[in-house]
This record gives sequence, structure tokens and C-alpha cells, in this order.
Amino acid sequence: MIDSIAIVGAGLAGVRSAEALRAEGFPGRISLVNGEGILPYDRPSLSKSVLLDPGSSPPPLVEANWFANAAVDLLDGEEAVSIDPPSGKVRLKSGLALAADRILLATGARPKSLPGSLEVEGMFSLRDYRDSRQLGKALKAAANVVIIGGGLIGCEVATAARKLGCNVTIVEALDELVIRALGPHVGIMCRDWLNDAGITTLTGVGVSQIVGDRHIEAVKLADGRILPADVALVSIGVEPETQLARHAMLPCQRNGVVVDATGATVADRVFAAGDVAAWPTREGAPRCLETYLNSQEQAGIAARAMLGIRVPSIQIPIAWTEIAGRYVQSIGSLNGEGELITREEGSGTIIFRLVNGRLEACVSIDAVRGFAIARRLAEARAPLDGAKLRDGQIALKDIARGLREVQNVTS
Amino acid sequence: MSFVRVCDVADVPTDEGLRITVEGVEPIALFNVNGEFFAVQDTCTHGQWSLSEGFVEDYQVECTLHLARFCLRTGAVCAPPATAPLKTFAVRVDGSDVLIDPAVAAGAL
Repeated sequence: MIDSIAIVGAGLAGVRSAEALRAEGFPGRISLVNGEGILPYDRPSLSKSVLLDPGSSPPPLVEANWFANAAVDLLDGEEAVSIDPPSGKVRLKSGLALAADRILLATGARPKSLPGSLEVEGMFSLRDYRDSRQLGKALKAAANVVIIGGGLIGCEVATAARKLGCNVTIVEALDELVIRALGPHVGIMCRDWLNDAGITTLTGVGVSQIVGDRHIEAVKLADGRILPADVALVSIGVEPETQLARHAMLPCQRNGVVVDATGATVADRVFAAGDVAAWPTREGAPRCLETYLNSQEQAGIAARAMLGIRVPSIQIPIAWTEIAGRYVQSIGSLNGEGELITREEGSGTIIFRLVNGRLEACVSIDAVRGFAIARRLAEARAPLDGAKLRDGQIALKDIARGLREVQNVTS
Repeated sequence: MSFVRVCDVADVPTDEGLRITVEGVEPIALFNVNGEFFAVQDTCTHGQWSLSEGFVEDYQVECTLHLARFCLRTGAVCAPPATAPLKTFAVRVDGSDVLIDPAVAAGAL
């Protein structure tokens, strides 16, 4: 009998799992540890619209009265300092302890830092609302901005900084932008968009030094170049917040807490979801996906699994971003074997990766309607004809319909 | 208000949506599911995005922006990140005309 559940972390995964527990009719106690102490909110706008207007706030994840109405104990400003998997005890910073039949680790991730860099004023990282507000204020007053790390967050913030009138340079150590998230093919496109927007992009070069005693003055690159900077953002990826799991001797791999396809760890009482969870993926190795839609889905799956309803789900990474005015959506990864096929879709573009004639992944640029169909085809690993895909005259809808008819006939 | 003609039946192919503007009323998304018509508020309750472009499946519309899903019959949320339901509007088909009453919710008549 499950009477009480403690959820550690009130970001997307934590809040959505609380919602799912109540939606399943769980009548017991739900404690939600909310370290930030403000009403749980949605993060995607923090690297976009909130930067442009530091007075604006990110949308709440649920209405303010939801927690009271759903009888969820929101423990504002609390932090979990340890968990004890055998007993289900969660110790809190305040000295209180929760006794829970199930514990969900939804602790998320924190930005990686450059050693020693954050003591200098004008250096920023971006994860929460406070970071976003401070960075937004600094950008408003800045002339020269250097973005260290050209992943999705770096490119999004560069877009916002340029809109605010700053001179912006992105420095990426790898040979192309957004390689990990979208692949080098889209990386090249991304670089063109950013350059057209007036943003300088430097790839294949690392940062050797932050120049400035109290306040940043410049960023020195490994090749000796010096970029003047009033503001620099370190956006070189995140590390999952696994301390609680590690101290409890739960296996962690590739940095994340190892879970099965229901979010279960090796300890009966403990589950994990969201950015902290190394979850099984269709591409193979379990990993932390760091995406909104996967975190949201994992939260629902783990919530049901905690109640004994096991619906395993192998994850396919799915994400969106906004870079230099383009709306980009992706499912799976374009990195890997197979053939890349580019299709003009309306006024946008979709790039497909076919492996042995089946759709493994795709990235859509300003083609949201096409992506709705392409995403379903990728989820099904649908068998597709490259020539038909390339032909913008044959509607994706008709390609999908043709497949369904074949399947209905053969099944 | 009362029923106003908004389009022809043929203007909305099956499993597709059409953005409708009626003066003095917020934009409305009209959908055709196998000849049955549904009208809901066009703007997703999560992001600022038009649902008329959405993907229709199983009497639900999926917002193309962040993939929230809503029931076309009731406006209820079927999948997050949306948490608030859509407004619905009464629809009537008269011959080849589609009519909407922007002042009345679906099923209220």
C-alpha cells in the first residue's frame, strides 16, 4: 500500500509527476520539495522572452491554487540533503524528515562551469529565473557579449542579446554549432542564420582565460585572440544533480541516475525522472535527455510506476528551439549512420535521416505542420521512399496515409 | 449573438482546421473530423499559437508548437504542457454552410 510520496524537485518533472499522481486517483500524501521557493514555473522562456524583458515572468507550470486544491504539500525553500532508500526517509535542510513509501528524484541539472570563472562580475550561467533576470538586466546595459558554448542555450541567448542591440560573439570549441542537439548539417544552417542576424560565430576554438580582476573585460581564446566583453555567458552544457542518489549508493552512469524504462532505480522505493535520470533511449545507451517533452513524459510514466502501474517507455529525444527567428523542432538525432534527405516543406525545411529505408530522426525548420506528421513517422520508424520524401509536391499527409493503408492491408 | 455563417463545408478538408474571425470575438479554430465540425478558441492556452494549424487525430487537436492536446468536443486538456481548457463554440451545418454561434458553447443548445 502506497500512502505517501515525496518528490524532490519542483521543476517540470516534479510538478508533472504530482499532477499525474492525482490524475491517477492517488489519495495519499504528496510532498513536493521546492528549493527555489517560488511558484513552480516553466523554463523554456528563460533563454528567450524573459531575457528580452526582465520584468516579465515565465509562465507557471500550474495555477497558483492547484497545489492547495490538489492537496500537494509544496515545501517552499526546502532542500533534500539525503535520502535513505531502505526506509524511504528524506532528510531536509531545515532538519525535518519526510517518511515516504516512494521517492521521486526530479532534481534536474545544473550548468557546467568554467573553473574559477563565476567569481568575476559579468560572468553568467543560466538555469533558473533568477539567472535569467540577472542576465537580462546585464544584457540591457552591455555593449559586447561573448557566449561561451554554441549549443541550443548559447544560440538562443545570442539571439536575444542581438535583439537587445549587443555585439555578440559565440565561441564553440567543437567544429560546428549545436552539433550534439541537431547535428553538423543543421549546425551550418544555424551559423548562417546567426551570421545574417549580425552575430559573430567562432568554431573549433576554446577559451583559455577570462580577463578582468573584479569585472570581466575580455575573453582570451586558445589561439591568442582577445574578445572584449562586458558580459559573458558560460553555456557549455549541464550536469545532472545526482548527489542524493550517489550518497545513497544508487548507480549513476553517464552522470545520470540509472533507471529502467518506467523510471525505477535499483532501489524499490526510489524513482527518477527528468534531466537527472539516465533513461533508456531508442538509440541505445540510457542517458539524460535534457529536453522538455521527454522530462514531461518521464514524469507521467514514473508517477504511474510508483503506484504500481508499469507502462515502460523507451525514449526518443524530442525538442524545440528558437534560433535567429527560426523555429526548429527535432525528434531523434541526425547524427549517425544512414542517409540525410532534405525536403522543402511549405516555406520551411525538414531534414530526415533514413536508416535502411526507415525514418530514424528528423529536424524541422519553420515547418510545424509537417513536423506533426514527420514526428509520428519517426516514432513508428516508418519505411519511407527517399525520392518521394524529397519531392515537395507529394504531401507528407499523403505519404503517411499511403503507409497506413499498406499496413491495414498487410495486418 | 446568434449563428453566423463562417464558411463553406468544402473550405475545411477532413482532419484539418480553419482560422475564423468573427467581428468582436476572439479568433476561432474550426475543425472537420469526418464531416463533423467543431469550433474551439484558436489560441492555445499554453503558448500564443494558432490551433487551426494543429494536427487532428482521434477527435483531438495537437498544438504544433509544444504538442499540448485538447479534446475537440469539450475543449478539455488531453496532454500537457497546457493546463487550462479551450473555450468551445456551437456549430451548425446548414446545407453547404457552416455556422457558428460565438456566444454559445458547444453542447449547450
